[in-house]
Amino acid sequence: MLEDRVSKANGYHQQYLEINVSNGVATRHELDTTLLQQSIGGSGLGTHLLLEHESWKHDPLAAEASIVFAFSPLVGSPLTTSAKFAVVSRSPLTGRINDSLASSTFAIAGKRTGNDALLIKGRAVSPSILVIEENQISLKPAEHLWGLSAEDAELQLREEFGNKFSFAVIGPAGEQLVRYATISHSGRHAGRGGSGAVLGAKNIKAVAVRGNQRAAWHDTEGLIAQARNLSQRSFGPATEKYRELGTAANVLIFNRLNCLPTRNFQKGSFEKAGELSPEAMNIAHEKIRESCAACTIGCTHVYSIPVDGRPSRARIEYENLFALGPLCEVSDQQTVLQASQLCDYYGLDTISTGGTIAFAMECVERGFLNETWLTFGNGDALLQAIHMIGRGEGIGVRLAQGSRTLAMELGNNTIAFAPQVKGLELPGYEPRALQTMALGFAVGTRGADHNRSGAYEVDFSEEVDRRNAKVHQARLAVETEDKAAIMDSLILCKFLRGVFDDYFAECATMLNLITGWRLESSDLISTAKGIIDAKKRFNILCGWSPEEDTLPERMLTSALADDRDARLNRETLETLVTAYNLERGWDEAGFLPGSSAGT
Amino acid sequence: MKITIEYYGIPRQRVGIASETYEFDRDEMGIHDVIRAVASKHPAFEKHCMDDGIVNKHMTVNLNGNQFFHSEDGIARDGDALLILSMDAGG
Repeated sequence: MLEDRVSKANGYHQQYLEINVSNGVATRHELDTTLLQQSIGGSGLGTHLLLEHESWKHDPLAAEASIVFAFSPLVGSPLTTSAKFAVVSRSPLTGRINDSLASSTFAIAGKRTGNDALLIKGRAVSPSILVIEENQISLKPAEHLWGLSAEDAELQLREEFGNKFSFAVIGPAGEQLVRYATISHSGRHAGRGGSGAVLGAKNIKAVAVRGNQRAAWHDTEGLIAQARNLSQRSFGPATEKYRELGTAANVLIFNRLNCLPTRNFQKGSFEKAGELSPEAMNIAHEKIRESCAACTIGCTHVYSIPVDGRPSRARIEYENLFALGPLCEVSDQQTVLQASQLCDYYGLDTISTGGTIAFAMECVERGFLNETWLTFGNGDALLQAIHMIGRGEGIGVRLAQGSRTLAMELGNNTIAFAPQVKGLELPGYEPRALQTMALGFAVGTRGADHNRSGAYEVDFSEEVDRRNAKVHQARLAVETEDKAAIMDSLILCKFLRGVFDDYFAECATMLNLITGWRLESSDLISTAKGIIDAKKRFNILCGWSPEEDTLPERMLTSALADDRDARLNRETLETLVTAYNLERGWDEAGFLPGSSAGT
Repeated sequence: MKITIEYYGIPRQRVGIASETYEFDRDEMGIHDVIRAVASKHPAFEKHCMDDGIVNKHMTVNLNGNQFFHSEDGIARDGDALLILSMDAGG
């Protein structure tokens, strides 16, 4: 048995591994302290590495493209929810930066390889498993896993490699290069933006990691005390909603406030929303609660469902429910649970899957798409469409490109109601009813996204009129982005955010206890801004233009059908975007100081 | 006047009902006083959803689906619906 080896630096191994899967060559690169202080880890570190490797130059599915698995200084520590990793690449769905996060032991085992990040380039000659044991890498055949779901492949890998390895795996959707395919680990998914397709394009079915290198901590006693305190608070009222009901509790609240996107964002409420509430689901289905590794919250609600007469399980979040339920006007619990399970099976982002199918349903209704079976409210059609996307069959091949590409193919100005920003389908927050969030969606570097901008929190406060945005909301939107940038780089779960009294100060404390740095709140705020600048820089290098920072035309020309007070016009959004850009220290159009289009 | 109270998320879990109507012998009243009436009727709500006499920072209050009043400063009138809900979104 190997003995643990402890790093010289605190919190970091101060190196990352570049692996070319075309030829099996691995190169170790040092990471200096200045860069680590500027990027922390996770999303921040991954973005910096993509910039360093000039990944903007390459098609995301090209062999030359890079994909980074980035860990963080908190991984492996006793701090609750810190077992997380970021997957960062150029997105095949948007062509812009994409950073998706997932949880559990892959983060811990990955960091114990002695690396703060793993950067993968190239394309294996045949389906392969990339095995990383500390600085030793190898490629093993994966033909026997090709076609399996991520869960089934992971089970088989565990039998083959043993429990000391952890695995990040793609499902059939990643193999088929579906542009919103996920990378999965232990039932959790790096979900948005198609990182699964980037790995699939490299012929990598799975990344297997193990190691014995532990990063040192500056103040172990202080860290343990901090961790104990944080865990205690994580058992309290700030997280009870996630424990008792899960994020699905939003269904009834959003429905009441007319911000539950329904019928491809035509409405903000769904008359059958009650049937999909966790309160109703809990009566009809057995449920268990699960946690990621090193998590004291336990937000994962897993429902038992029979599928084809056999017992099965479906993990439910608000986003699954909204996208596969109201957005497609499907209200049957069993169907929505099964649709969610199918997305997990194939390795599909549930938001983009539901968003693209709902868009296609509206195109069928308006006569722009000749798939007459694909109609709103038709649960069987929803399930069939998911199968076709996952298998690459029929219309599924076109749906696999996402709503933006489908709209461009269909023409007839269908792009006006394609539910996307920069190609990324909108999550379950109706922008006309939540106008700070509308701004967050428009300017998001990875497209319409609720995890990189928490601007909905502003809309749910008494500081603003959520349906009548004012220019000062730009500053509030920036603040939520800054918080998210730090959380995604430390990395901690966003469901912890309610436990902090002084967010940046407590984050600085945790980071200082681990690294020995002497950061203050203001330092972390500057770091957050630097991380968001780096993402913007990447996008500018990819060809970003100011016209991308907007919403689908319909959302700027029509009020919500069921809430005429929920309306947003182009001039208002443009005013907000300009204010946001200036608040960020960019020019009015959104270019960084000293940069212009393409530089 | 009649005020309908709607409970969502954790408040509904603690109170055990989706909504109820309160009658008050006046034309309008402060939201804070309405919340006090709810707390008097539902000790579990007061215990789990309030701190120092107001809804705790993890809950919020909304009037008629429009304005939020976390500080409970607003005024409720006859026919209004007061929503008490868990604050954090996400998912």
